[in-house]
Amino acid sequence: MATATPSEIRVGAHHEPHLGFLRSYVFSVDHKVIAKQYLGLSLFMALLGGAAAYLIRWQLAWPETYVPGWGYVEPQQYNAIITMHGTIMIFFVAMPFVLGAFGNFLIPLMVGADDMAFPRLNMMSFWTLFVGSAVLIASFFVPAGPAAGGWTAYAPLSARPIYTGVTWGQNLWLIAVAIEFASFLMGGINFLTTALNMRVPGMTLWRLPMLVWTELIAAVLFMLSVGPLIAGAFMLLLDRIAGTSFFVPDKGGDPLLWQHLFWFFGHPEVYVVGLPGFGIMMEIIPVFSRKPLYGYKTIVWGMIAAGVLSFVVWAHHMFVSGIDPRLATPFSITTILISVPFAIIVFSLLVTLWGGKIELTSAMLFAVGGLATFIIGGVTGIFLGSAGLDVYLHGTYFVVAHFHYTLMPLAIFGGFAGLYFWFPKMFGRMMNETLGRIHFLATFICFNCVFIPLFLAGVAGNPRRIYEMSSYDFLKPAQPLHVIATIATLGLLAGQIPFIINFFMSLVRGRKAERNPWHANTLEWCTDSPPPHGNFSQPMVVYRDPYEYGNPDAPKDWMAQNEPPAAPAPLGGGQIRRTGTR
Amino acid sequence: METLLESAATRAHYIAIWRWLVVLAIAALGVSLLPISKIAALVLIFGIAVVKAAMVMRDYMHLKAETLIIHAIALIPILLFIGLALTLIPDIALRH
Amino acid sequence: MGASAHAPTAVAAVNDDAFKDIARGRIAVWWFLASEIMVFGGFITCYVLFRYAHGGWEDAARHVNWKLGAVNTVVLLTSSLTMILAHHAVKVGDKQGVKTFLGLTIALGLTFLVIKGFEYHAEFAEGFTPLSGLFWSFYFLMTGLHGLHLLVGIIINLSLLVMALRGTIWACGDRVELGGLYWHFVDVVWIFLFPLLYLT
Repeated sequence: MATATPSEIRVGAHHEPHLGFLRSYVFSVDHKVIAKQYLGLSLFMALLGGAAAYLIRWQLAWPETYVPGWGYVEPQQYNAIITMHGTIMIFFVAMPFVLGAFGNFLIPLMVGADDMAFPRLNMMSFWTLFVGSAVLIASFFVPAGPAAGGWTAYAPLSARPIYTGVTWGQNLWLIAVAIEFASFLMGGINFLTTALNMRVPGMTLWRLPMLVWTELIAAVLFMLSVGPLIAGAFMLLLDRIAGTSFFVPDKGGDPLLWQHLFWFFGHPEVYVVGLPGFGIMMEIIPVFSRKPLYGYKTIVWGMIAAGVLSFVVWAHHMFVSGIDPRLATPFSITTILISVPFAIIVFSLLVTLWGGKIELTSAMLFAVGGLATFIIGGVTGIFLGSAGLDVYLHGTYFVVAHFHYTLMPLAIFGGFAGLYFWFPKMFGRMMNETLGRIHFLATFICFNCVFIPLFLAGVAGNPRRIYEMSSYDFLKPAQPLHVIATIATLGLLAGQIPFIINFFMSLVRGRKAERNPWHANTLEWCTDSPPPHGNFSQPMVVYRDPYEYGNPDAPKDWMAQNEPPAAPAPLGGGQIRRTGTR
Repeated sequence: METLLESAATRAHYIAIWRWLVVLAIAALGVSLLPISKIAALVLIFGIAVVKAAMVMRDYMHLKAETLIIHAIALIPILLFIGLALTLIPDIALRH
Repeated sequence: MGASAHAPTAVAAVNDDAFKDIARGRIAVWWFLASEIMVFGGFITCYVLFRYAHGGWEDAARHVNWKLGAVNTVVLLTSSLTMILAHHAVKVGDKQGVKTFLGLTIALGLTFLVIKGFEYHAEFAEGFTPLSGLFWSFYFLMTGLHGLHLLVGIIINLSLLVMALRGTIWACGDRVELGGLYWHFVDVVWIFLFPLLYLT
């Protein structure tokens, strides 16, 4: 091909161009700035999502009482709040957190590139997401309130304004979510192209740090699964605005089709959010165990297998939706099958911990705590995968507890672990470990105290999506469980205060971070903290696997990826002195 | 850079493909007017559409000269949505 | 054209995997097209399943103008030819050819949209709107989105034409190829929409 130029590897720090404030901090094309913008957006949206959780839990524990700081939660408001809690937490917190922030910050650094493959597209994808968030927030203020049809927006509830009483709120919800999809499709182009095409010499696919692998697989899953739902969103929007009846049965539409389109995306989406969380754990656990990651290739193949299987499990969300029974059995089988690759990942991480020199920093605590918590989520998933048991459990709080036990450990515990771990690299300062450990303990204990009672309530048959439970006699015995869960929720929310204090205090007053405070191997630790514009001052060359820790024959217990084999003269920025205290 | 001769040959190839595409389009129209069974007509018409699409992708979008990764990016989604459609047949198409 | 030609030889040996030699632009555009395949695939899936489920859509489908649709098919196929010839002209350095063929492609694209506009007009005049039943909802939604994609393609080609007129197109060689990939994709979508909506 005459036009196909070989992918050039742009290396070397560029002289920082003198751009104005707007171009350096707002409309920046630097992947590091964009990552911080994603981080800021996701943490801001997390405040909204957390506030929604507070209102939901208060209403469930002490129904129709005055909620401090808000007032009374009306039934219609309650529906809107649970809808917005789900939408915000999945699409506008978890995705920007683990994909937007960590993917953007780390993929170029970890493969040794100076930026993403398409920096301007990268900027555009963030601002597209920003517009999406703005549209979603705007939907709180339109007449008749925000969407109230659940975060899954099941038709026909969502397809006609008359059913929920929501008019523009649901339309804006659809538009916001569609914009969010467009944003992450654009981001995915960058993830894929950068990870495949911008690797420095020596960085083969089998030497990629796990985080890059997970972001890559997540980007592929997202791209392949979201298309039919975008089509469905167009159709649902037309149903609402123009009055067509794609999903309304009165003129031949089929509500079940929306559920299929939604979950064909929705299930891979769980792994889109979850795998990068695992990626963060897989970076952190070897560092603080001083051991190589166990079973690198097995994990990669396991994740690819999980990715493939994730496209054939979606109907397990619909066992009680009236799907054809002939579909239920195959989907049960695939769902139970998909626990195998995840078991491989979990056991590999456990074996990595085994016999290691474990150091419980805040990052490690969140990584291990998240892993432990995820196991509960994963195991309860097997219950729900069995169609027969799912029929009993699906409409109950068991499902609520289950998906919080899968998504929270991966996206939120994983995200916090990553933040404590890479904060020095992002902002050039260390975070306070004491506050970090307090944050972990509060989060870990309270999180379990919220959702273990909900598992029990679910097994007892407590249906979810009920505004006011005290009017049902059969639910009265479950009420104490809800009170415990709510008190724990208050603790969970209060437990984030040390983090907020820590975050802003460390930004300003934290101890200056050296290049490699954790003595880690991957390439991002071979440059300054924070990395300069252009990331690396010298061309990087990779000679090793990413997890060479604790080799008894080596002079020190870590070998950076760019450290040449047994060559006395260092090549590139690989010479790292053991300085500072840990 | 190609030689002049090769360049003329490539051009002629592009035009030949176009000629086939137009012929096939007309053939599909012809099939729709033929007095044959509905199933046979559907098979023929969509068979022709697949051939046309394959020709455009192979020769105009240069899929024949692409590497494995591009082939995968192009073909996996096609297989995936066909799989989606097949899986949904019992639920959506046969329920009424 | 090895990507690692300038790297130390010891490293080059472990770096020869298949992905790095592909121009970034082509990976990106194909990736975008793959997501588009899933979107249009979603529409087509829904349409085919509904059509199978309900039956009786033939009566509605009889009212679309297959003659204009067939003309449009030929117009779009021809525009694909002129697009690939524009790409070919870039490749062989034919300065006039690039301008001519890009101009022709744009003109053919606009012709398609104009004919489509006449079709819509006639259908609305007969009283067929997106609310006249599921077939018409699908018809207007899918052809409308296809038309929007074509419009985007025309805008892309216009920007390429401006670059060709200014002579700046020669500095960024593969843009016409990338624009062409998108254009051909829109053509491929029509190749399936035409029999789905007009011929069955």
